[in-house]
Amino acid sequence: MRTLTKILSVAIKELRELLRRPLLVLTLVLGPLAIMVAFGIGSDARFPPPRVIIVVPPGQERPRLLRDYEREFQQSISIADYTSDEEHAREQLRRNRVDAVLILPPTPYETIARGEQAEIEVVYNEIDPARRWLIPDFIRSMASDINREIFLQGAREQRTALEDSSRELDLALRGLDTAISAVGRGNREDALRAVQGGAQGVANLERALELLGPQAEAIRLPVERARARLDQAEERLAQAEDVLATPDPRPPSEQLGLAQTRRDLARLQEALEQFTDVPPEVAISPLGVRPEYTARLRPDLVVFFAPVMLALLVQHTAVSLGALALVRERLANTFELYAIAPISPLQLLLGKYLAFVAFTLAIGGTMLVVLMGGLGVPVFGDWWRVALVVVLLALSSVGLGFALSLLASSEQQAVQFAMLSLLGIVFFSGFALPLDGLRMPALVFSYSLPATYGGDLLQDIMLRGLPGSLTFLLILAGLAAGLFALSLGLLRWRTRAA
Amino acid sequence: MSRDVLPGAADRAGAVVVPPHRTQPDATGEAPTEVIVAQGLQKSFGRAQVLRDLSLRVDAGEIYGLIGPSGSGKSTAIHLMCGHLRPSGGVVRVLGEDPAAFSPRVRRRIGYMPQGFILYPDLTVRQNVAAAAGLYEVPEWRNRGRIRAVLDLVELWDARGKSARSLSGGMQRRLALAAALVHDPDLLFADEPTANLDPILRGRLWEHFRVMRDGGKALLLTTQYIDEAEYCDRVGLTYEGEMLAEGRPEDLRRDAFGGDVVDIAVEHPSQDYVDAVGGLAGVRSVSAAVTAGRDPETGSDEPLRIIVEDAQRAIPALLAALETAGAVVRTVGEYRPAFDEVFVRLIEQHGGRRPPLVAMRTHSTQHEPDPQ
Repeated sequence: MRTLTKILSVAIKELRELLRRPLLVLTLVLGPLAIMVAFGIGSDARFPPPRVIIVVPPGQERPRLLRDYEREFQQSISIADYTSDEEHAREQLRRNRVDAVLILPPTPYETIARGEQAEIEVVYNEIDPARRWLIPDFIRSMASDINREIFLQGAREQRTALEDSSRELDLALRGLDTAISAVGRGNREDALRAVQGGAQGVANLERALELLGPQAEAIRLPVERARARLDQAEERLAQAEDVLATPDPRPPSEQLGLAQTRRDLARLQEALEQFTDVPPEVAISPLGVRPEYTARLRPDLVVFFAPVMLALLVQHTAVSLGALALVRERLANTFELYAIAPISPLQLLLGKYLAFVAFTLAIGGTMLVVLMGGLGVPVFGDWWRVALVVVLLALSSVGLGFALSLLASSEQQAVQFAMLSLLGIVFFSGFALPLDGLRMPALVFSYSLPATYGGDLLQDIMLRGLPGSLTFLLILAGLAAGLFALSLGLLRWRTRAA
Repeated sequence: MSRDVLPGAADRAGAVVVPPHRTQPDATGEAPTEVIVAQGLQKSFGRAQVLRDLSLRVDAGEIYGLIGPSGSGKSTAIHLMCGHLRPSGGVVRVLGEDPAAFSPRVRRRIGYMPQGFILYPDLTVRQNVAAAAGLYEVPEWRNRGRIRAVLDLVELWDARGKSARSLSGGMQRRLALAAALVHDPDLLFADEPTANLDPILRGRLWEHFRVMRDGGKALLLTTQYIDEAEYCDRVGLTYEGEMLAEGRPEDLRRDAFGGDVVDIAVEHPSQDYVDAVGGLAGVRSVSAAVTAGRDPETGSDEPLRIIVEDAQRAIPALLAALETAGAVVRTVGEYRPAFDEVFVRLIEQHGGRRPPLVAMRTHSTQHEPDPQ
């Protein structure tokens, strides 16, 4: 009972001190919170497209490349100006008025037609490491869009050519059917006309295939063979009236090669139909991606980082207030009272823990209500898990604050420690930079901070509805216990007789 | 433990005779209970020795005053007895225990009022006392009356809602005292409890200290106000880390002057009168300086200052001798020198330098008024 009296008395005294310093609490707690919320609301975490001057070839005010692909140009870059004065454009770049200069090739279409690659030159001088790699990426993305559009147009033209070829092939097949029928009836005149019609169809098909370019190489050979056979059949029909009277056991259409030609062309038609059945969009991008989003929530940036902000605020509140609490008393010699009063360092520390954890939980609970009510942040997981994580986070953070407070040699230094802790959370807890992107030794800092575990666990529980990593939970509990032991050791050291 | 002479102090005191410590049974026939016993206490910080061989004993029902100028080691002695510091040498026992390892039982019996304000500046007066009470297992929710009583004692009840930060220096001292007394300790360590207090409040506090003393409590106080030695049952005079003398204030006064001081004003003082009293039995000296002439302020002749073994027994013989010598005696009386004069004499006898004026304070010259 005596122990409880002392612990409660210390806790009440600490809470009274906190409540009698509202300005300090506001400055320490709500200040960083306001900054973080403003950051979260005001930032969409995306880089704007680079501002670019496009240098057009002299004498071409609006080159065809720009006209044809204006939409693609404007999608990926922000065009600040067009000019044919390359030096002027480079000067603007040097003065950092634009992010890049794009120099268009003078005759891109002709270059491509020659089978060469037409290049857009990109000049940039960005020194920001985070943006430096983005500028060529933006331009590559733009070039890729243009190339895709070019491919698409080409594919559409090819499809038209294939459809034309298919029509010609159809004509040739009908001519051959007529010829075979006429030959079968022994009507040489009709057969000849029909063969000539078929041959014309095959000739048209050959021309159509030329438009398909190298891709049609595989089907060009059977077409040429068919053409040769038809030429031969036409010649024999024209010259030898006895063709149909020749004592040959094979049917006349076989003798003239008409039946074989028809079979070849029929196979070719099947193949062409397969080509024409493929839309141009599929032809240029055969493998597509169909993303399916299965999360219960599609959070925006603020909502996604809300649990991390909660963890951050809980740690910052506890560390800041804890860091100031003990150093003030130590420097004011209040420890003299504790040294002679019948209160042990353990009881003193428990009383202070009780007050600061309770206060931190009140702040954390208030923020949770604000996040849920004001920003619509959901809690899909179990409430008791959220509470457990916040309590462990508060315990470990208060311990961290007390340890810093007992190490600090002045109140100013304690504040600096608290600010360093805040910077540590911002940079290393996964708030500003993802943990996956950190390397050693930064990861050591990351995984020394209670907020790192707290943020991860709260995100899992609140936004994903998961129980959270048991390992992280155990580490957080271990941190809380370890920092309590450290604080107790430091307090004993600070209160022992000199 | 029984000790009549503080060995360390006596050895170094030279001509200063340290009076025997009171060990006789008190009025109830019981021997005094030792509350604090320090023997040969030393404390050094690095190469600086701030306390040298301090010995003292404080009994229950006694107000013991450690008096000395600033830097004389008074506060260090208190810190050693409270367990804040470990002695570099010597032994100290408080309520039968080593301060370095006080049990909770003993801690509950000790009150401590530090020299500076070490409470909580953001809390109100009442909250501060409640916080101190809680440390001593006196929960405020069951001791509201007690909290009010100590605040009444130090006249701070009306200011109970004010933050400690906003109090004057004197009020902060009173608040610290209230916090030290709230758990009704058996032993009070008070480092300069009356500093910056007005005379009326100071009088009240001393009255309360006496009430505590009469209730069997022990008080160890330090003060720079030399004249406050009068209020103590026993006094230890410290100077430059040493105990110059220890004893009842009256004994110290006698030690400083070599006996009782009798001032006799006569008309037209002369060497004949000095010779007439100088040879009497029990007369130790007659101050030659006082025969120099008239007091420039009053216009009257300065008195003969005669040091005797016992004033009450010597005065009739002195008067008779002067009358025989033809002197016309105007006034006669025992002179009680102010304690700061006693203190200076003791230091001079010890061979030390006269302490600087700023280091020695008397209420008449150094009092800072308390606005309350």
